[in-house]
Amino acid sequence: MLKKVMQGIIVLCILSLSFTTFAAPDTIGTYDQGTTTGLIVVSNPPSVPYSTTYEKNYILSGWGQEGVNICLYLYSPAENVYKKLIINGNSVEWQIGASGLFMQPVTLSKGENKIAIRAEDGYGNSQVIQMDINLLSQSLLDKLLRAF
Amino acid sequence: MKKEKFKTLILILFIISSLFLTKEIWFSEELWSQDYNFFSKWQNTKWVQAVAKVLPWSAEDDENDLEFIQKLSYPQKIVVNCGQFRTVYYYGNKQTQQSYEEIFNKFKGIFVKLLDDQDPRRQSVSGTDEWFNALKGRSFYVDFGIGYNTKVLSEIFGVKETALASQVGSIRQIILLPMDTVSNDVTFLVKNYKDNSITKFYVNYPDKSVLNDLLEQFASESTPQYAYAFKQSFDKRPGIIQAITLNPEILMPLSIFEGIPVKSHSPLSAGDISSEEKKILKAFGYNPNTSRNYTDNTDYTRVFVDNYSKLKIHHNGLIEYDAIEEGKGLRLPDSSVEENRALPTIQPTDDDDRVLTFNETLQRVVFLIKKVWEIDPNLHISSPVLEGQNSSGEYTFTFDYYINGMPVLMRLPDNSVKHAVEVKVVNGTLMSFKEVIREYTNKENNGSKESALPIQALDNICKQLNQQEIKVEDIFMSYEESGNEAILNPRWSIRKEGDSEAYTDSLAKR
Repeated sequence: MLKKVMQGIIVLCILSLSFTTFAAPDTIGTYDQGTTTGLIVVSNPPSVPYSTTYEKNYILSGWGQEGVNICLYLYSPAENVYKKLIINGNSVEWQIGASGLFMQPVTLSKGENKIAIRAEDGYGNSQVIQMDINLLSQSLLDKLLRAF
Repeated sequence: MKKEKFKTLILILFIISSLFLTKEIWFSEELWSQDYNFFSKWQNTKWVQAVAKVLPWSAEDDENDLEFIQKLSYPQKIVVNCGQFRTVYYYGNKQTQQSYEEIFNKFKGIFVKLLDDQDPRRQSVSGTDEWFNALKGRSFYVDFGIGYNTKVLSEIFGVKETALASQVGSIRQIILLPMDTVSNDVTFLVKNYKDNSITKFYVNYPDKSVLNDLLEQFASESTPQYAYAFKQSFDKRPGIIQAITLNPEILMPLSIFEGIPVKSHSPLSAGDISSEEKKILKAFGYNPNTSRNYTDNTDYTRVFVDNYSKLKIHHNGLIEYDAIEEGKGLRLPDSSVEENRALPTIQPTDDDDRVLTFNETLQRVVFLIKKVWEIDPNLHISSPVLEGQNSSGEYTFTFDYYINGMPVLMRLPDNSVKHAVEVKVVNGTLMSFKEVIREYTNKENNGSKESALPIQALDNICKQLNQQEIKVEDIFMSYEESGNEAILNPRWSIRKEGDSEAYTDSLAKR
């Protein structure tokens, strides 16, 4: 009887372990780089970690291996961690398809926007790319365009 | 006396009736042998044609034909770029047709100035940075969808000789930039279709405020948001994994696209189509009363045969004409010949040796399409127009339907046609003709159908194709025509580089 109970507990532990392996964590640390590189490449913003833009409606894009799960995080200065980005009550997560391309629109706030992209494959390998996108004001852009 | 008067009256009525019936036989039913036609010969003499051209209704027909040919060559897509905002206008989209025409008419007016300029100011552009910067800034991007020989395009726009043709041999894409407020010039960036080199041209246009107003007005209509593939670097090959690259100018909407389902119907599918059949026969020079014919028992296709060709009329709307050999088919008349007239296969003409130009051939083809069936305003030319004058006068034209701004891809069961209209002409003589006659109406209650995001559709198509390397030339919404009476839902399709075939997302929800 005890043997059967122990077997059941071990099975439950293994199952719960696999669930925690595939679900993206709710927070990631500022020093977290993941366990590997090469799962994804971010093409926009073109320079990582620092870039500037005038576009409030920004598109994060890139390419990666088919089947890789991606989750977006936003830096929380109060807690000094990156927390899952929640839009309309849902976290922003998706899986890369056969084309290997991904595109995700985000709305930036004025000034500094610290974002992290976490990628994870089916074997538990993860990659974290942190980026700092500075949104400049549209009026500055308009002035520059008029000048030229 | 009364009896005599009555007899005279009856006699007069008989004479009138016989004159009327003779007129019907000769001019309406045109019951004469195909090989000799006195009236056709008479019509084709130069002095009769010259008189016919002067007649007011004849001029109006010519103008309508020319206007239609111009419309056939309208750009497939116009993008109004205003920084991060942009709006895309597609040919054939009735909802945005007014805006499309307003923008294109303005563009055309300035482009004609460039075509007219005998010595346009120009500058070569190295690389593609300036081109992409123009797309990111304030500009009008015009994509004709197919490559055009510059001289032919110029003629379609009404300019017979253009210096532009010697500098840029063929064109598909043009960007118009209003530029700064200091000079009176606007700039055209013209991409050479054959080698992708870019040349910048300057045109004097003091009234630039009109262009800037258009930019502000039309780019602000941008929903959903679009992204150019080059901005996301999807045109580059990454070092890892993947070998899917996109044409840098592909524009992808970033939210779900809502397309309108359409009902597809063949007007030749049911009921008595004898009058339609007669009209089609006459268009191809067949005598409806004397031509040999039979009905194929497998699919009830009507088949007509004469000494030089075969004509098939299918119930799904497909009309097929094939000449038995080159030079023996129908001699295409120009539009000076009366519309309802039947034509003999071989028409006498004084200019048999002259090779017809592309434009002349296109006009005759359009005239033939009009005779076969009422020209659908949704038709658009889809074959590249790269040869201005072909030495043998051999041209192949294809046309496709554009409904709600989306092309209709032909997917008939036997793959016999790839386009709505396919015509092969050899120096004014018809070699083969295929047309799929269909009518499209937006589905009742105008219920729209949500489609996947283009990235999701691209994922599905890549899975279907199961290929390692794919260079995507274009991603677009489309309808698929199977030839049945059906509701067509809009679906994403792609074209690969160097492949004229379109691949559609068949895994999308129906």
